Amino acid sequence: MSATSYAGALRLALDHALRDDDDVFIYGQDVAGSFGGAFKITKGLSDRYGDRVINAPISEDAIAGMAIGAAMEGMRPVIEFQFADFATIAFNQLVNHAGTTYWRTGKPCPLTARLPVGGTPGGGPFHSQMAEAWLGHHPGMVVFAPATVDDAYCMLRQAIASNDPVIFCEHKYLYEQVRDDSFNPDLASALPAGEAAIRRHGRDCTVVAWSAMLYDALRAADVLAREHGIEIEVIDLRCLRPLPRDGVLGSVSRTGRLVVASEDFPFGGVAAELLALVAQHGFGLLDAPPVRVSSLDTPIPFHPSLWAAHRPQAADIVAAVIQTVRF
Amino acid sequence: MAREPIPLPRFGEGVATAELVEWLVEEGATVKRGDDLAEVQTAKAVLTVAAPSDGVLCEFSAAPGDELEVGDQIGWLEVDGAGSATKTASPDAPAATSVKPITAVAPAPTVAITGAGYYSPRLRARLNELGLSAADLAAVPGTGRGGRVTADDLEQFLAELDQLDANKAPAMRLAVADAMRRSWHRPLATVARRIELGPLLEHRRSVPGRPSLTIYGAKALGVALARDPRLACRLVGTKLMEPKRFHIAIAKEQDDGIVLPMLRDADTTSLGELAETHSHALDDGHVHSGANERAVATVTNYGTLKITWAIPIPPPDHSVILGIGKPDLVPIWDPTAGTWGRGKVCELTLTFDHRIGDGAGAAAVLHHIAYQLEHPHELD
Repeated sequence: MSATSYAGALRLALDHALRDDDDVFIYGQDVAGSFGGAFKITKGLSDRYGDRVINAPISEDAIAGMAIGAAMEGMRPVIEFQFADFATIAFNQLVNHAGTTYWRTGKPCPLTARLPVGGTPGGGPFHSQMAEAWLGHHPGMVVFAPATVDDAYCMLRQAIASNDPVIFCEHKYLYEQVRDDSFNPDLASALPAGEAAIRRHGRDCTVVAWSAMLYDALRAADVLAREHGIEIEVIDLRCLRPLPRDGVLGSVSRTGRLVVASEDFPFGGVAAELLALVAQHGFGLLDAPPVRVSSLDTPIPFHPSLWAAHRPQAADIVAAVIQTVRF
Repeated sequence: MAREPIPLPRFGEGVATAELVEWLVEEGATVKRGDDLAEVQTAKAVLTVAAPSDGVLCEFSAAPGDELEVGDQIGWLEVDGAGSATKTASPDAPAATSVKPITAVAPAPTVAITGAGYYSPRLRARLNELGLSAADLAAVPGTGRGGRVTADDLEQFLAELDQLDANKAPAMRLAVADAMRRSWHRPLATVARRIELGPLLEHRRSVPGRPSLTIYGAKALGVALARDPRLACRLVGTKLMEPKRFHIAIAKEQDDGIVLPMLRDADTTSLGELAETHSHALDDGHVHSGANERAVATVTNYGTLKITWAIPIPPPDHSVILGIGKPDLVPIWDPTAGTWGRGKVCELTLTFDHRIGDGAGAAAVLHHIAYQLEHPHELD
């Protein structure tokens, strides 16, 4: 059996969700037919499930609005935005309607919105952004950001099974780059939503990351261990809303130090939320001020070199950890 | 072949720096992973740095005597292949470009909060949890950055304490310990002189209740401070708090602690009344403490312990304490008769908060006290 990619695991999760539950359907631009979506995640599914994989007009607002109506009627729609950046066009539907439906009407809104997030070389300002801060800000939203093949499969199944609207952030860079030859959908299991995973143990400093940044953190961990004798504990947040508070505070209680690595912009994001969490509820756990490593506070540049300078790299995490450990 | 750095490893939570003592191998030596390469001296012990991989030690980058931080390179290994980078399942960096990443990290703060006096929030929380104070860490040599005490140092200290027999300290002991800790935050200075006791010993026979030397001292201290109240003030922030009345406390050792019964208005109350009040206070075991009534200074008669001279510490809410030493019979020169006689003398000490007053002012107060005690009829 060849190694399963992150994209393959997502396709399999959709396949199995369609197979197991007649209320599940897929709706998005070019998701049906031979095109199979901008990133080919739904490729082949319309052959098997026919009119339950539906092409939508080029209107994110209409896609989200229609899916919310279907969800309120008892269906389990999975909608796809071609890029997370374009979900801003559906912002009203997502935060004002999907997020509040249950609280206003008592009726659940089991919507899954798949958002290809994050940067790739040459992605530029409209095809590279992270979406967790905008959408996670609003009560009623659940935000997932899997980083591994197992999590891609299991968390998408969890998202579709959830009665809450889930913003499912898939990192474009991980689609084909992350592969796992031991992946088996029958054996795959995920932690419950809202729990963080420890991807590497260490007692000198906690580094929290999610999505593609997890791999920068793991590379930083190798460098720190090999060249600096520093062992970091790498926490994969997995679920951004609700925030896995216990996992983060538990790790900081072991290490006394926190670095948060985020691909998102610095202002008002999940990284800031984590620092606030630890400052407010974990002050007595700290040996040093918590540090945040984020992208720069400018729109995302096109040129791959500029983009590499804009997005935090493993070296930035290494520098932040050394600063924190030596405080 | 690839070059791989040899870092100063992290020996333990507490160890932040070490000094390179000596290299144990020659430059150019072939070494195996785990071989001892160098000896380093940390705050705790001499430790060895082991080779991280098989290879040739091609370059020293630190010399004996160098002060190193954890993670600093001490040398380079030439190893086969692409170095010892562990293989991971992670993808390559998304940015496969050669642009030097910019560090979105502020430089480490250079303010001196990181020295030996710095206690991290974690250490403080642990101290609070244990009911300990910073004073309890005085015995702990800090091994952290700048000599600070780390959480591990504290845990090790506690583990060492566990080896010893521990008894619960009595409440009185704890109260005195706390008062002394608070007192010690101030710069204290002491002036001293000798007085002749002959006239006083004569005078006390004529006073009802035969007041003790301590009572005389309290009265004279009250009068001296009422005349010049500067040393009776307390300094709070930028304000000097001047007292309106001159109650004097008397230090009395009792039940493994110290109590401070108070003599109200010592400056204006007669010696006889003071003696009576004091003996009642001690009989009752009653220790004064009115909400608005506070003594301004203390008298301690360590002479009763057969001590001639000591430096007592004023209680934290007093700025001055008068100490009285053991009377001694000594030869005394009589300048008018030109002969040696004999007489009783004792030493007086006045220990004061040097923020409140200086040596000259303290000397003037002590001389005034001495004058009164040598001319006791002035106290009637």
